[in-house]
Amino acid sequence: MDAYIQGILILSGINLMAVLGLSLLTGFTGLFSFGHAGFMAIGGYTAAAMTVKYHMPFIPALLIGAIAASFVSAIIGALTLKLKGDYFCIATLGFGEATRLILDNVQYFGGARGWPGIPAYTNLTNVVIINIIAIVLLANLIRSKHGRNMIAVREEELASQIAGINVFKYKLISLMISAAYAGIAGGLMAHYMTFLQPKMFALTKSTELTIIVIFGGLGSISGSVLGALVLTSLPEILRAFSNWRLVIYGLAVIIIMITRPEGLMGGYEFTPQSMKKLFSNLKGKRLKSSEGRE
Amino acid sequence: MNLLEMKNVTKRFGGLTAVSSVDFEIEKGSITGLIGPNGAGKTTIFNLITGVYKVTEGKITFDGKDITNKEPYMIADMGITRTFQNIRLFKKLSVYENVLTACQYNANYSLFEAMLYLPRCRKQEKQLKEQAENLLEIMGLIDRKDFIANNLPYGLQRRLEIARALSLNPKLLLLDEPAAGMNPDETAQLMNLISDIRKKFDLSILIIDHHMDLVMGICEKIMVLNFGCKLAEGTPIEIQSNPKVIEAYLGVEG
Ligand SMILES: Nc1ncnc2c1ncn2[C@@H]1O[C@H](COP(=O)(O)OP(=O)(O)OP(=O)(O)O)[C@@H](O)[C@H]1O
Ligand SMILES: [Mg+2]
Repeated sequence: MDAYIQGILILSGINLMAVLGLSLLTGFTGLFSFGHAGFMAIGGYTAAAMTVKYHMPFIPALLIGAIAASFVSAIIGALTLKLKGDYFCIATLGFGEATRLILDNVQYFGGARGWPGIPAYTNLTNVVIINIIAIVLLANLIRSKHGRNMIAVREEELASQIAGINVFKYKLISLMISAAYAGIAGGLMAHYMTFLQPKMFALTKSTELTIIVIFGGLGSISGSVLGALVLTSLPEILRAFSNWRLVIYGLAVIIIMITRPEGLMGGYEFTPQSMKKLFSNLKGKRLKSSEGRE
Repeated sequence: MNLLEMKNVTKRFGGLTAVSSVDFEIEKGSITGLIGPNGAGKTTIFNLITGVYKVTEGKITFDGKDITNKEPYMIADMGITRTFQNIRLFKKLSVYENVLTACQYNANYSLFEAMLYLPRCRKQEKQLKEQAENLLEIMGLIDRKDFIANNLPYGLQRRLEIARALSLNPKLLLLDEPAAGMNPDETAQLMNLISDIRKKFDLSILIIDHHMDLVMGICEKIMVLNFGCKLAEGTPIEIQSNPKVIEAYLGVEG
């Protein structure tokens, strides 16, 4: 395959991994985070430390990165998720920026100048396989009672409590899984770029992830997949227009959000059943319209 | 035997005493009424029992266990649940999903079993789905299974909220103005439903309502609240002939 297209697909896949995690937190649990780039950074730097400094194989290194990100998220969650209002959202924003600033000053990881020489372990095959596993695990979770509890929390907290759901616990679980996904995305990124720099995990990265989740549609895994593929490849494809590409990107997002405020998929999923339904609907419509012509 | 006991329970909001040293018991298996003028503190009592508000003073015990100031989800797990005066459904979810979400008292598969969709998860999920459908059947909501909760007519939304509460398999069900906004026909239907529920699910019910025919018709015992204080307590006949109650509350209605 063309190396250029392969590169775009790998980047989409890395973004998708982080977006899937954020989708669980924002789309299914109703919590907004503007610090997911921070979890990616923790996962990325940890995984890279494992492969570079301890010569660990790739997959265990990714998993350790995920655990590190998840652990940090648990601390933030434990401190802020019991508070009412938007403390959590603000805390994630502060966390993301703080992580970047701290990494700027840790010379062990190269500081602000960056950290070159990370082995190039990430390739299209392992990105695709990891994403498929991530999607299957997430879909299973969401269909289970644990997933229903998260959705209930998103819908109506008080009613959830009264239905016996520990709202705090489910917010925390959602956050920890979400951060683990972001951590793996960070590890994949480190071993694709072979270079890490704190700048890569700025607030714009967190915002980009949130935009993708909303663009794809809150509460839809298919939407997140579609959103990640479209919105990661779009700026790359538009690179030919150099200066204009971010304007076009912004316009595309705005147009979709105006015409479909609920996002591309808005709570719907691509499943074999829903496809069958869609096709039978389309068939029905075509029959009707052909009848009309006769 | 008493299922629930409130001893000397007080709730203050800053300077306002919404509930003032109330003593109150609910007998196991009974339907009890809680009535009183607007702002008397009825809903506040529900919020105290279910842990939504913290008690300022006093003690609440349920089934012999102290539940004062426990978290609402713990109290729900112990067997107390409720409906809300201003309906609180999972509005954007379907009727079926509303009930299924609350149906989980005997599903204990872990997060990992869920993510890997292991046999125990599959088996328990199947049971939960059967339970949910069964409950919708009993509550007469099965033909609206896939309706979005918010799109149901008002009366059915109240019914769905009761169905959701019943999915927890509670021992005590608190109903906050279940007949609000209903016409006499619907109110009569609701009365039958409440009596049926008590028999079928073997539970005790505490009910707040302003419809006197409903309260007097199905409650074995009634407590009257006025300005946060217990004004009277007794059988419907005793309450109807109590001069203090007539002056403070019933007189206004009739
Ligand atoms: N969260 C709160 N903060 C402050 N005051 C409150 C709060 N909840 C209730 N109150 C006050 O407590 C008093 C009792 O309110 P409550 O809702 O219990 O009345 P009620 O008997 O249910 O009335 P209604 O029949 O109108 O539903 C009212 O004066 C109300 O304003
Ligand atoms: Mg009230």
